[in-house]
Amino acid sequence: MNPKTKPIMKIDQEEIAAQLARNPEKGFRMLVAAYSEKVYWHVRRLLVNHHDAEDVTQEIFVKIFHSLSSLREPGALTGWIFKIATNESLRFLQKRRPETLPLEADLAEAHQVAADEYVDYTDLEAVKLQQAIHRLPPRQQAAFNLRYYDELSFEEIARITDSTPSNVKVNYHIAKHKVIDYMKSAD
Amino acid sequence: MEQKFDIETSTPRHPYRVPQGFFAQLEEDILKRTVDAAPAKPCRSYLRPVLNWVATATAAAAIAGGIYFGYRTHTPAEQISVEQAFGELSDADQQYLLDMYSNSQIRELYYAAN
Repeated sequence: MNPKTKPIMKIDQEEIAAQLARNPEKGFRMLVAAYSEKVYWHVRRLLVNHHDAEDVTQEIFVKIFHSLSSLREPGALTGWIFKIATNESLRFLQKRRPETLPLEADLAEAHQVAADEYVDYTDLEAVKLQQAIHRLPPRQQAAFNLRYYDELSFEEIARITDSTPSNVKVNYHIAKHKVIDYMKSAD
Repeated sequence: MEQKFDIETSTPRHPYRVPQGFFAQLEEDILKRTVDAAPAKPCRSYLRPVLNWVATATAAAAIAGGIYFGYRTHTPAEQISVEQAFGELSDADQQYLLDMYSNSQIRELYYAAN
């Protein structure tokens, strides 16, 4: 399975939202087809473990299904879905590990976080990149991933993370430099 | 490794993998728990008038039966008092009641009183 995913921007959210309004069942099937893989990868990058990501992704879509009536802006479908996905993932992380992961967690812990049967450890650069990202606080990880992997705008990420675009932008650049510094550091 | 990696130019990737056919199964599992698990739709609309008609007919039969059997179980004295009460009503009131309840028993009472 190629882990490179297409950016979320390619999804026609307006068309899905229009179908949801015309025929909710058909619209929801379209929504699942368009977003399930993207949501899974977003969750997986935060939770790391495949089985946890699978369970949480299913819960996210069940929640989306039962909350469709609360979708106010059809043009904000992607942001709405990723807000639910991010919140559910962070809630899961909090439950799994109540104590907050320190900003500069040690490398051993980062390795432990990455331990999973569905991880390609031969791709050393990708593994190290994930270790670098997992040294960030979970909320910062989410924002970094939404920008770096999913190519969302700072405005969209701000809506998802209940922040301001300028705050997200500053945080992204801080996070990026921490990741670059870690990548440049010796093993 | 550090010389090659450039966050600005490298294609974003990660080391995570999934089992073969995972995403098709994930979609199926989600749909099973959502749209395919939704409760059955209510009765089709053409059944509603029939059900309404049956309910109305049942209620009407119950009322008619109640009046009929109630009248049959009354003592003659009670019948007389009802007849007297009906007879004491004005013609307009008696006609109103007859219009309201086009019932042969009440008609009978009306004619007996007059």
